[in-house]
Amino acid sequence: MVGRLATLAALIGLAGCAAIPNDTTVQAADMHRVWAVFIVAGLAVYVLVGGLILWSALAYRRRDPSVVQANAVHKNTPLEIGWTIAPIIVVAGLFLVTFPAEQHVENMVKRPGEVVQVVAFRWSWRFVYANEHVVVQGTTGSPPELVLPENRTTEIRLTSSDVIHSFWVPSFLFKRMAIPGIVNAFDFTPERAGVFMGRCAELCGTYHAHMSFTVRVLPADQFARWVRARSAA
Amino acid sequence: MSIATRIFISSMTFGILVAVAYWWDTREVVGTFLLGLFAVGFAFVVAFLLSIRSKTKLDGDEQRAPAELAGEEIAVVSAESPWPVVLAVCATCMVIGIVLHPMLAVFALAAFLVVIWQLVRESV
Amino acid sequence: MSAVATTAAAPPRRLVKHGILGWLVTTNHKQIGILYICTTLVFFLIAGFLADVIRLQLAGPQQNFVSPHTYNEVFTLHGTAMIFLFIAPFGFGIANFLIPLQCGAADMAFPRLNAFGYWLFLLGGLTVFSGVFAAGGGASAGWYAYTPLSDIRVSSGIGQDLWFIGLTLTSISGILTAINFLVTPIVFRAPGMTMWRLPVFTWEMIATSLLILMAFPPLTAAFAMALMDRHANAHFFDPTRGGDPVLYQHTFWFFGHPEVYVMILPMFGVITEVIAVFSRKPVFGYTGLVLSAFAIAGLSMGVWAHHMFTTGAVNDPFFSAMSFLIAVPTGIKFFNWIATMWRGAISFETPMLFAIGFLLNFLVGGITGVMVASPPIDFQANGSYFLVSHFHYTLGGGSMFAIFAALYFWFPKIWGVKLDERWGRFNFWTMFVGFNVTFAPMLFLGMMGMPRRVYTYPAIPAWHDLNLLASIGTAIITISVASFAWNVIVSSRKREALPEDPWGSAYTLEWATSSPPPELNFDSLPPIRSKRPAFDKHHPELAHTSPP
Repeated sequence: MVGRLATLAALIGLAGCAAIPNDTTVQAADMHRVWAVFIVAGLAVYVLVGGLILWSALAYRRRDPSVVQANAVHKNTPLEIGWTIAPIIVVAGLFLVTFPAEQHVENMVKRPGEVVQVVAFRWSWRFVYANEHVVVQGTTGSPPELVLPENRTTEIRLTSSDVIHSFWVPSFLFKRMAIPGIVNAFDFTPERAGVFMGRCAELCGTYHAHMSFTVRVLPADQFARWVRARSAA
Repeated sequence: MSIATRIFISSMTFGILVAVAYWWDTREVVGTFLLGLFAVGFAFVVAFLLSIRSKTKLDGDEQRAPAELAGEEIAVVSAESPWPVVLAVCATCMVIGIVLHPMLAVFALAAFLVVIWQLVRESV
Repeated sequence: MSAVATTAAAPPRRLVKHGILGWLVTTNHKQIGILYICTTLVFFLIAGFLADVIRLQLAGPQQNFVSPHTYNEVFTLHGTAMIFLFIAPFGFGIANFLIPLQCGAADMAFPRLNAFGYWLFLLGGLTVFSGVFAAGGGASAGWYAYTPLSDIRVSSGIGQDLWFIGLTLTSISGILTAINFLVTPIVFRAPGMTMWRLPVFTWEMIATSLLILMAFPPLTAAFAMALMDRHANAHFFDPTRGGDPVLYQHTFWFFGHPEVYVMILPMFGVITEVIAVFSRKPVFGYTGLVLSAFAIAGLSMGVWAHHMFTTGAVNDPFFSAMSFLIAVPTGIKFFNWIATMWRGAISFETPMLFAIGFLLNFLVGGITGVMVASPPIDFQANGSYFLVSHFHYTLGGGSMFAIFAALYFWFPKIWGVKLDERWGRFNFWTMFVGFNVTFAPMLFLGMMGMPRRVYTYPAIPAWHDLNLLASIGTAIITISVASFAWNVIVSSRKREALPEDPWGSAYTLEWATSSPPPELNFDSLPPIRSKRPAFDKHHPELAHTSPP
């Protein structure tokens, strides 16, 4: 039975990992690694503890209905100390996996290739490429596209002009809140050209569900051409 | 030292340790203040419990019940009282009134004070 | 002092106060407990109906059963009612009934304060609901009502005000109730009932009460500031006038995280009692269970900002490390429960079924909780259906399952009637299957990019399939809840009188008095010489094996 549980767990783990891309940005690769470690550890804990629960429930069924007490065992100090220390070691390990990955994701380069100011508002987004004098204005009915260069670091400076929103690109495994009065800065380095979905992930009112955008990553030369075309218009 | 006192002393110590660790790591004022505040609150309780410790002996702390406790009056409990529900209505009207309708708050406050007076009379 | 066993031939005992007026003026903790339980179950039914509306709307993409704004009102009220008006106050209700009985006291320390707390809770809940009928509709800013979304310029209707006001009243109710829960076990224990003989449930309630006293006042403060911003021209949270919206989040979550432990610690107590009784062994690791309750309570005060990892405004590593640490005392409890079952003689009455379901579901909730405690994972999971699944596994799969276990276990003690076992089994299996079919798919939906609080989603086939599956699961849950209501109806027709301990192997002091208990709880107290006074009374030949 434990074998069957373990197989099911492995299938779930594979499905989980498949749902999460790992090659879209440099930072996503770090975060994907953390996801993978935690999914494996989580499934292992589930199989172990879940197995113990099911095993005890089934193996220790009462056979004689007149039994009123099986035994009076109510403590085992070495065992209890053991199962206090073991989880501490496990979570310490999980923290050691988490901390460097988070530092790496939060780290920002001093001279990004591109700086885009993102302003969230009810209910769409505005992308301002300050250096190139390009503005992409979205509306709720017509979601905007954030065009980024491949293999160059883009710094995003994110804010809101009304309520709190959240800038989420699921394929990049990253989101950050857009808060009025605060500029949240972060950067990422896309590694793969393509078109990726973007959504608002913080309730902001009636059309929160429609506040989407797309991210289009272009190779550097195509990006340059796009910038020229937009700034000429 | 009773268990209750030990619970509050450990909670206070924990609060102090976390507040210090939090300040050392983040230098953030609001969170440090809140964490420190709960340590301070516990400190008051600990001070009270320590100051009364020679004067209080609880029946429940006897491992074996002494025979002289048998048959004694357990407690005097009020079986029923109309004031809780009336007071709750007054309090609700007061809070709603403060935000939405000041006259309601004024009447509710007056009724609230009358009920408190009745409660005090009921108790003595 | 000899113990008198109640014979099965005696008629069912009644509680003392009769009639509607009797219920309005009662200060008896048992009646107040019943008031809380019945009121919270009504709120549960309403909140569950709202969940059905949500899942009906989300069963397929781009549907229009409800308008976007109405949908926001629906999930706001669903979350608010489930958290503030069902799970937390159900815990207060069952604790109200049990704590004096488990201590050997005649009533709570402050009976009138206790009653005042209940009526404040009821009126607060009704105030929140009254917003639905206000112009502009009910609150629609979610159950945590972040500013500026909940500010007067954006949410201008009085529905949002009534939401803030109603929950201020329920918070005050909780604080006053916690005072009783703290004072009664410390001061009003019967002779022989030392602190270390108290049931684990009562210890969990002591820890819960400390949490309430520390965490509920900041909530009242957050709401007072929000109301001042809305009506008194204040600008605590208005960035255009020097305020900070993130301050609301800090103050709210300083309450909000301990609140989730207020919702689970009583349930840990319930599960401990049920597992021990139906495994026919004493509670394993009593000391560890008590100390871990306080460890969880203490640590939970220092993790609030893990709800704010995506703001960019908090020190992620500190809160991440503290959040990981909470898994340790929780794990200790799990191992103690498994060890209680180990080498036991387990029978599967309905309370035990729900307890085992709790263990399996809360395990998923706990594991996904450790996952989102890691900021790199939270950057994806926050605000998505992964998080929705996590907190439903802990609150629904955890607390709600424990609530059903508590209802089945203590129903005979409270009402003198045992619920039917066959309907109980049906209730459990439909709930377990329905619950997992609803919330497991959401883990994948979140990882794939579906945000929470959306009234619709794009027509992506995988999203449609998983959402439809979740909605089917919700229909199964609805059937399960209906079967519980049916069980209550058919069982209450039974007329047999029940003994003090209808389960045969119960431990704690409430099982040493009649079902239901007399007005002052005990006609005569049994000798209390161990952690299992009722068991010692009913099985004196085994009393020497009871943990001291």
